[in-house]
Amino acid sequence: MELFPVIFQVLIFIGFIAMYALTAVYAERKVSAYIQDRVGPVETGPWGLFQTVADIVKLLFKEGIIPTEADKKLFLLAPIVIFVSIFAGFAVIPMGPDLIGASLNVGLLYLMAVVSIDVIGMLMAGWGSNNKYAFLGALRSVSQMISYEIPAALALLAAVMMLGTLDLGEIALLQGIHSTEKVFFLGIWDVTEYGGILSWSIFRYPHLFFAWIIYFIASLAECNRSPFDLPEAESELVSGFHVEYSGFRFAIIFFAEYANMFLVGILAALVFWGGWNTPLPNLNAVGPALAAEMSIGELFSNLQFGYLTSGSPGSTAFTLWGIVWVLLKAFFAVFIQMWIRWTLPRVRVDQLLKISWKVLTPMAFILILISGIWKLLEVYGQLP
Amino acid sequence: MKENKTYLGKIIQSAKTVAKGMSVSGKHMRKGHKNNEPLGIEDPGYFNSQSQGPITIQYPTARIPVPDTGRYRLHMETDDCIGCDKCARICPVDCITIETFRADGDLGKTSDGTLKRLHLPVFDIDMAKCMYCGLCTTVCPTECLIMTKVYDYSEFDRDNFVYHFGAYSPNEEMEIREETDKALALKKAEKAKAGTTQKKRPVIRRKPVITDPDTQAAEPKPKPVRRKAVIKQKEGEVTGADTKSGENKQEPSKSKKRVRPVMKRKVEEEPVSLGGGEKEDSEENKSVPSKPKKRARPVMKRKVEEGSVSLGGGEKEGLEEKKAKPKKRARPMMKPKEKPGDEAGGKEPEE
Repeated sequence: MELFPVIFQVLIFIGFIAMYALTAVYAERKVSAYIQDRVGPVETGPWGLFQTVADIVKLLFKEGIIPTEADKKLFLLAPIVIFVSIFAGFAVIPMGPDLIGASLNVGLLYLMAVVSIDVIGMLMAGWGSNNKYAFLGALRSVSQMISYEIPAALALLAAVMMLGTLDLGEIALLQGIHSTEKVFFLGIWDVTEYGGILSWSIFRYPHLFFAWIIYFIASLAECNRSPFDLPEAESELVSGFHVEYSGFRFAIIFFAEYANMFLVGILAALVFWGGWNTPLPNLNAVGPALAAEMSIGELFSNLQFGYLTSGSPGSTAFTLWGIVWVLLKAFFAVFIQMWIRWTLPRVRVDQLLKISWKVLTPMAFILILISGIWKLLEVYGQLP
Repeated sequence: MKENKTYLGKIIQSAKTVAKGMSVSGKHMRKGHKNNEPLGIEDPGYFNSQSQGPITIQYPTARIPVPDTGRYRLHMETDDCIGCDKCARICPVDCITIETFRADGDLGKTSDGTLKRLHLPVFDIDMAKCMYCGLCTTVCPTECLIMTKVYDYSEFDRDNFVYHFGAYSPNEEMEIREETDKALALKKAEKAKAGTTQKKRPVIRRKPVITDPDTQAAEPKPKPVRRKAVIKQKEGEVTGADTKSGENKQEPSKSKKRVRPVMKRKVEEEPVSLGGGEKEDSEENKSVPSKPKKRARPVMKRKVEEGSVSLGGGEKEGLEEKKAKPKKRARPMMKPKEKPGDEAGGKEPEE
């Protein structure tokens, strides 16, 4: 790929993430307000929409304070490491069909690996701040994220075993009407012509539904989101590893956190929720060849909602539909994260470890076992 | 919910509880968009409003309705005031200041038909002092003084809390005073010609304010006011406090004299039972309630005095007290109510 498009994509992603973070912070405040019978921001702009813009402008104008006793190099480097590691993860995320920064055949592995660097950034921030709260927060954060990466990775592995690829673009492609392979609902019913929600991996392989739940819980912990927000436990640690950060550096860390939320959300959407494929199935199997020749009215009358809401492959509409669907799914995941955050209380450290090691990890291994057996049955022809 | 202690049971149970919690918060979230009108306490749905979405009240733009019986900022309908001074006298915190002077003839009627005979140049309410008890509104005979629903009236300057309901501006007041004085003087002259000069006394209120010579002449009657009585006695004994007497002359115009003596009498009776010296004082000053007033404050001191009386000669102490009290009473002019306690505290060491 040429240099220019790469830079272009990067800029688009940075702008997109910045906009997303602003919206997500606003949404978070509104969700929390509504759950708590408040009204949230209402004064700044219509419905308070500009509140986060005002916040970020204020942050950018603030003085970036570096504590005297801080390890200056680590302190200054940490926000960059955190943000870059999260941002690098977006390289392999397809925001739509063929709309992918780097179509790696080890995309998912790369994603898990590069996002893990985030942990190093947090440790740098906590250690470099030379602040006991920041340090404790960083320690908790690191131990938590490392231990929860295991069930998350195992759950993803269970899905990858079934889908047979690590390329996220291909993973998404396999879960819709444009799949290059045959798609079986619950492993039995051929729904290649129907697509939609029926071909999502959580429905093709029902055990992957539990894989998704495991991944979702683990991703909450990886994002330091409630109920696993021990690293930021306000009542104990002020705000965790970024307590000493202010101004632009704090804004960067904040962006990274929300970008991480989005990243795990979109990853769940790609691997488990059909990626950029439409959730609406065709209610009448006519086949892609015939559907490609149909007009919109004919598609509608033939109940081809799957084709209607995804466009014909290669067209601009196809790309736009893909962007819309994948973003909707990711935002829904982010919304659930927020919903959970403002509902559930924080777990204790022992509960945190118990959930990870005694529940999620063994469950994930069981799912991998099921995936393996399923694949064996497919290979030996017991399953279609 | 029955607790299941098994591994899977715990997982299922926690899944159930999480789902329950999510549904609860989800219900609240669904109502979050509602824009509730704030309900007043009188509204039957007031206590159910929590389940109806946001309970936030965007204060300046939305307010909880104040009940009709709400007691907040005072308002005075100047046209309806007859200047009776009842509100000023009953006010526990002395936040109402009224000045009146007699009108030449009638000033018309209030809206409820009461005749107005007094000009009302000053009717100031210090809302910074007001404790919103509403006593003034209950005693007001013409119901010109009411408590409104206005509760948000903060100011940057404390002086702005003094609300002026007086009928006239200072200039107007001067003119009207001059006019009425002239008119009254004319009438006086006419009456003097007619030969009946005795009826000047009904004008008692006016004398202290306007003319010093008259007050001196008529002192016996106006003096029942605590302060004057106290001062005169003391002036004779201690020092001639001309400034104090001047202050007293201005204040008597408010006619607070008769109300307070009632309080003092009760106090006097008790002191009599305590010591012989006090009896003499009370007998001497029967006609002058001012002394009782002084001892009304001592109510605090009595407890102390009782002890001291039992120790030594009560009469001497009583005399000392008299001397000590006058000195301290100069201050009470400003803060009559609070000082009794202070005086008691101050006198003990002397005794």
